[in-house]
Amino acid sequence: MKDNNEVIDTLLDSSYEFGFSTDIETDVAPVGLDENTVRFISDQKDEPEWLLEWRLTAYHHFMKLAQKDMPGWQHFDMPDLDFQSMSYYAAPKSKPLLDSLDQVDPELLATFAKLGIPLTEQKMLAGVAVDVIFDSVSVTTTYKAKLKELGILFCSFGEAVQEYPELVRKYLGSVVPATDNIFAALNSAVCSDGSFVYIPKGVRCPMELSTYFRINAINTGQFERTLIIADEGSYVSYLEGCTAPQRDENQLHGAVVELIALKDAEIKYSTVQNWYPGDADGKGGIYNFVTKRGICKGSNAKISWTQVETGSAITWKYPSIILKGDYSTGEFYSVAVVKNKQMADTGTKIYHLGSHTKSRIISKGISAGVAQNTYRGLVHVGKNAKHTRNFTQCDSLLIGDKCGLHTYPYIESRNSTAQLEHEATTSRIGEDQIFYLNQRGIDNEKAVALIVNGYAMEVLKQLPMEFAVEAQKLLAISMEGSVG
Amino acid sequence: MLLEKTKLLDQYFDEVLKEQQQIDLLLGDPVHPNLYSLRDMARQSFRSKGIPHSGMEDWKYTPVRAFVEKILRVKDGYPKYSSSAADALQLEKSCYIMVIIDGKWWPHLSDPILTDSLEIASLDQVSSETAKIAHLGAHADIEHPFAALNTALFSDGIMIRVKTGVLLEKPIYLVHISMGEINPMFYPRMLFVAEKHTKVTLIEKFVVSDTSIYTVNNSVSEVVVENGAEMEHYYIHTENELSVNLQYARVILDEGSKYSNYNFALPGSPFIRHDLHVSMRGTGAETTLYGMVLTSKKQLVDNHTCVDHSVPDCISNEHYKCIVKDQSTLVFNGKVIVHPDAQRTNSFQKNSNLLLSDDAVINTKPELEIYADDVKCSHGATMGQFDSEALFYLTSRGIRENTARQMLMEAFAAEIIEVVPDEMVKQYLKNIMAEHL
Repeated sequence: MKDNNEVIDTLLDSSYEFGFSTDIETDVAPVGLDENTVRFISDQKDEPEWLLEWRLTAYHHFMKLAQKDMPGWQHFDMPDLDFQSMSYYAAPKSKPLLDSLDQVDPELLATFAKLGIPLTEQKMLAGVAVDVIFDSVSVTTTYKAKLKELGILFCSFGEAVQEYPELVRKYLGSVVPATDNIFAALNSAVCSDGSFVYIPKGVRCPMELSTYFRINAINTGQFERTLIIADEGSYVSYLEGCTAPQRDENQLHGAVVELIALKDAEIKYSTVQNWYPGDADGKGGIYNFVTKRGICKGSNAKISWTQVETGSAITWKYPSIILKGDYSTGEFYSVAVVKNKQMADTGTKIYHLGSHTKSRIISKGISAGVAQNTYRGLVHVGKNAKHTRNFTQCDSLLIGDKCGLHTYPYIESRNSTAQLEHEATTSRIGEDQIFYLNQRGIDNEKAVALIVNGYAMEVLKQLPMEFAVEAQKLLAISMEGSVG
Repeated sequence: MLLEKTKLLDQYFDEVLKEQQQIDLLLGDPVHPNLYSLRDMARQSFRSKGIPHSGMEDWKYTPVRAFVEKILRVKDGYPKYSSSAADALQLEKSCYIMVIIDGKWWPHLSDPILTDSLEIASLDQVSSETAKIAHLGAHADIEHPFAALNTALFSDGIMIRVKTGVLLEKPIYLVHISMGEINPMFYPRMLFVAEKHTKVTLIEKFVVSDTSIYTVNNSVSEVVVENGAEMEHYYIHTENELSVNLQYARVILDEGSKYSNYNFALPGSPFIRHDLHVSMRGTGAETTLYGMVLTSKKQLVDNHTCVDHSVPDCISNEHYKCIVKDQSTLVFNGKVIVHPDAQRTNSFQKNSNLLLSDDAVINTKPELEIYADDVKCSHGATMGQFDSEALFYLTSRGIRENTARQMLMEAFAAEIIEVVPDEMVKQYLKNIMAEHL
């Protein structure tokens, strides 16, 4: 691992590092959304009838919701989204064969190289199996064969529909129903691709599974669908990273992630989100409206969400956990950084339904420039959830006097045996801290990066090793220029 | 059926609002030169929102309509309250007592006033001297549905003004009696002004009489604490199951002023909603909000507090403790807003809850909205039952479990009750808590 100073030095002058656009011909669905768009996508992917019907039901629900006002409870003004002026499907034209890297378009490979994805042979030694989503279609899945020996299914969502329809049909929409909210409905109608993971009974997945999302084509929304099922007694750690090229207009990203942990299973889901946040004047950037939810179905199951959010013009995301099985555990670790005119409204919802369920929420918000950062969380204890336990800690760090940081924790209890605790603090980087570091020859920029990294350490240490390094890099870039 | 009911209540308010509009037109501006236009705005604001419903964020957990609706069914012969003993608050001797029945101040039932230090008047009698009541209607936020309703409909109320430099030794004790003599729903309006460098204690107690019917008290208070003044303000709710309370108070704090609020809700009223909004407008202001809520049976008590730091160097402290029993519901929403220029703000908030029954519900939301960086803000919320170790400690020393539980509840409540500065009130609260625990 490089040391902090070196990393920051190389990154200090960089703006959005991943802001390049690759010139590849893509198959794009006609602009606009109607029943035909849904049929077109379903047809392109050669989907079975039941899935098309499911999509159409979701489409009709979406149209109903779209008639009404957009949600208004969030702490930012919902931008005007014209769902009819977006294109809902883009696939690279030269679709490569799935199991041969050599046949992949060299330009694609070059893009991945720039992104630093460990896709090529040597980089695979890092031990990461990557399912790369490039504008909606899963291009290649590495390590698939090796995983298959263990019975682990790791493939694109589209492939799963073809090869394991019973599993998909059983679990799709079971955690996030199409009627959940307007973006979930839209995703269900037009979801293009995504990842599918199934870990069989008693298997511990030997490596970190990973997806790298990247929005490339102009004017396309990205609606991927991720479904992870951990069967009894299994374990999986999954990482998702996101980047998007720099563009003037805003792009919509409306993913849905569903996690299902059966008895004694554990799912660890980590996200490093670095979508293009727009420029300093708030022009462009991704609208990240994501629905993520997991369910601990059986007893003793565990789900943990770890997220590092540094990108997007707007982040609207509440990874949730339903603790249905007795003795199940839910964890949520989050670092959300906003600067310039970024807005983030993020947090978690934890539903304690089973008895003796435990949850832990650690949220670290950082706000700089004129950005607004909001933690919004819900801890709900059902009537039959005996002896549940929750601990929530939300810390906020303000950098500059024009930004905002807000906390809206909802705590609802219907059982007298529940023990719930919530605490939140707000502070800023003290002049004395900066002075202390200055004194030792560390300049302001580095000092801030150092303090911020220390502040976020509690969450960063939850990330898998390789990604913790990347996350630290991202934090350092994000903090650049935030101290005068 | 449900739809019909909904219509009826809305119709009722529509008619009442129209009626008041006619009266205002006839009389011109009864109290305040700008009141007519203010009422007009309030009317429109209420009409556009209507009675709040669960779709509104501030009313998510508080189904207020059902409680207001009952006024339509109040007729002669509605079961009257028969209480065995009058309330035992022995504050009378050492206070200035003001009796307010259904929102109207009764001077001949109240104590005489010291005119050189204090001005107390009925709102409809201060008509011409507008300077004194410039604050009337200036602070209540008519975006709040019930503040709007009160503004559009109040006809009477009380103004209390503590004259510059006066340090009032005896507390002013306002006894609000809900009787429903003319109308089951009434709209009391209060204006309290503590002028520069004064010191005053206000105790507001809400009771019912033995001839009360089902009533809904929709009151609005505007409180102004001027430079260097200090105010202690108590709310004590000991009504019975026939009295519903919708209290809205907006407090304005000028430079270097101090305001402490002690809010006690005890078993009785089926529904209490308090909106307490404190705005710090002068630097160096300090506010302390304490609350103790004890709910039982099917009560619903909802406290919405908001502390608004709009200038630098202010301090706010808030601590609400709640014991929730039986099938009751508790709602707490504590908001702290620190505006962009309010640097060096210190703001602390705590909300602790004891949930003692599986049929009871607690919904709490401590909110922070911060737009300035040089601040120290924190909030905490806890929810739980008795500490099993403490319980074990006591029972292992031969104390019966029931007694031990009671001791722990008393200890829990003591943290709030012990900070009450007024000895009389403290003793009274101790007694009344002991009775209910």
